[in-house]
Amino acid sequence: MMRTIKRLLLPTYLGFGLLYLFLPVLVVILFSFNDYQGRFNVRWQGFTLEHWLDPFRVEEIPQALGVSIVLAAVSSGIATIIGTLIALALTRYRFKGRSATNVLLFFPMATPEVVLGSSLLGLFVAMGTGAGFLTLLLAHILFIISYAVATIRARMVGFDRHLEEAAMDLYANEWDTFRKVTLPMILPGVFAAFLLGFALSLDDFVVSNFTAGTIQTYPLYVWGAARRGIPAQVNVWGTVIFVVTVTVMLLFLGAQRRRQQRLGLT
Amino acid sequence: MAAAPAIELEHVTKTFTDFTAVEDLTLAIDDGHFFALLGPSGCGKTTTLRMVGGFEEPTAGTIRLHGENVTGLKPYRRLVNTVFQSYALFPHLTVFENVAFGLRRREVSEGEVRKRVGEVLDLVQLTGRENRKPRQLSGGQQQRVAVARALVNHPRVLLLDEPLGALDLKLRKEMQIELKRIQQEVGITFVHVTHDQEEAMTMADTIAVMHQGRIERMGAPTEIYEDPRTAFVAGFLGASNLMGGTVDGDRGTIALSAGGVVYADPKHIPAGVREVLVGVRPEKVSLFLPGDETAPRNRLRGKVTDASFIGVSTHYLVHCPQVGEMAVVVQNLDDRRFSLGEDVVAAWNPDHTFGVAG
Ligand SMILES: Nc1ncnc2c1ncn2[C@@H]1O[C@H](COP(=O)(O)OP(=O)(O)OP(=O)(O)O)[C@@H](O)[C@H]1O
Ligand SMILES: [Mg+2]
Repeated sequence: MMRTIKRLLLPTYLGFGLLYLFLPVLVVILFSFNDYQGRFNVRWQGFTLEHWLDPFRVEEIPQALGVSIVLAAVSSGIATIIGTLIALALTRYRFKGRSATNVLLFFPMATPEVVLGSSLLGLFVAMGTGAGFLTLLLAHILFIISYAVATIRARMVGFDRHLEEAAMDLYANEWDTFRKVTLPMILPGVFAAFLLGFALSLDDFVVSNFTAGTIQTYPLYVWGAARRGIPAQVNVWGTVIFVVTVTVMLLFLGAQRRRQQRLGLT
Repeated sequence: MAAAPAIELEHVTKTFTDFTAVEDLTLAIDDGHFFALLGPSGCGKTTTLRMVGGFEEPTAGTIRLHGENVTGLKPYRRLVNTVFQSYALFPHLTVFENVAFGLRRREVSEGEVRKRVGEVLDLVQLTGRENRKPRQLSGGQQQRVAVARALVNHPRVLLLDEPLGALDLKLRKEMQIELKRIQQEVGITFVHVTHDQEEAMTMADTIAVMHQGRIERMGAPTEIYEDPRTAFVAGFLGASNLMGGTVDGDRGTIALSAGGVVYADPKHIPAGVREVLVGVRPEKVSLFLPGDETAPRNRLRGKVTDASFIGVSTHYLVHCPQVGEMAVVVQNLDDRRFSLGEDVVAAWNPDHTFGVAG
């Protein structure tokens, strides 16, 4: 009796945990099929494919989504490049201000987003740049970099410096060494950092709200629409983003595992 | 004009922030030699090798390769290749691509790459393993890939940093023979770093014994074994029985501090010093019964305090009142064994006495 309980305890606990995590997502997906009347899509009123067949009905949604995707790709791309270089420098060289850099990098992660966003707005106003896509981009790059550095650096622990020396010994100059040896070795970390940054940027609301000016990202659109009633197309696109994200993650993990098997790491 | 040595170091010093790893090192290695750099852990062997390879800049001094001053030159501009202690094979590349790496950097044609990689894999007996990843190879195979990856570039000098350190004893012995064979086959200069004196002696034409950032003794294995010249070398390279004494005028006899004399060949006794340590290798000493007139000239009386039979030989410890414990290794040729507590004479030929500054 006790043993049965014990045996069931963990799966039950896990089941509730997962349910708790996924219930909101399931609700979002479910309500993309809701045949609701009026402005508010909050009570289940019957099944329809209407919203899925007409995802572009509310023009602002694909527009805002487009902005968000471009923003996420560009900001995460730039932050990943800068983050890679910082991570390389931090693990490679002992330079003046190295430990200071370590601490400073932690700041954007530790600072409450509200504080970060409002300070940035203050800065942009003081500089007279106004707010728009560029300020939005700068703000996103800023808060993604720290995460990018942290992710890539975790990957570089245990990186054998002799590998780079061996490449140089075999006539590879600095650039070839980076291209042929360093980068292929840290690529999974770089890619993971890019995905993380992309996700962080895509669903950022607080910092964007301060620094976007009149630009509307997807989260900003949803926030604005909430007062008027959120159209079910938001659920449709939310579902698409969810599915795409999960697929990419699974592909990434699969590729990782294959790579490890190929290298005989497992 | 005689050809310039393969490697020349001139007054090379390397100081890390607060620690001098290599101190005023001057040395020349001839082309085609198998040179071993031998010394205990932390004596500066790796640092020396890294300076030749270009991974570390000397704090002072000059490094020349085949007469060309390469001090300050990047590793990829030096015609030397290195086999790293950890092998440092590229884990993301196949055996073939690992070996081809240097050729590809020098834009050798594809056909030539295939030919040369094939040849060198043949040389290290790894044909058929081209498409494996390094982690799918055994330690010895990885080691051979590392050697192949360096050799394929036809370097004029190959630097090896304890390449056999990670292998078990049996494989080590095999690889020693194999490396030596490869070196003789390709005829290039090998600089082999090791802290294994037996390895150095089996493989090298010339051994340099390093100690605390300096070279204490350099020469052919037999030469430095028979005449180590410093107490450190005598102790590091094989075992020695050392006794304190005073040299008389012609350096042929040394009066032991505790009484008695030891005879020596004057050329093995350092000139210009009076206080010396004289030594003899355990295997050069034989045991005799007291009063046996066939014993060589250097004779010390003592008592057997320990005897261990090792198969090919028997190791004795003999307590001699004048010098303390003496180690004696006797080959098991006849069945005359000495037993514990027996009175014996430990004797050796004066030619086998060496002296080091005391
Ligand atoms: N980058 C460095 N910074 C400071 N000290 C160093 C550095 N590299 C080496 N040393 C010191 O220099 C000395 C010589 O090091 P080296 O690696 O040359 O020794 P080694 O003879 O190769 O020893 P081992 O047999 O253990 O490999 C050591 O005491 C080491 O601590
Ligand atoms: Mg070393």
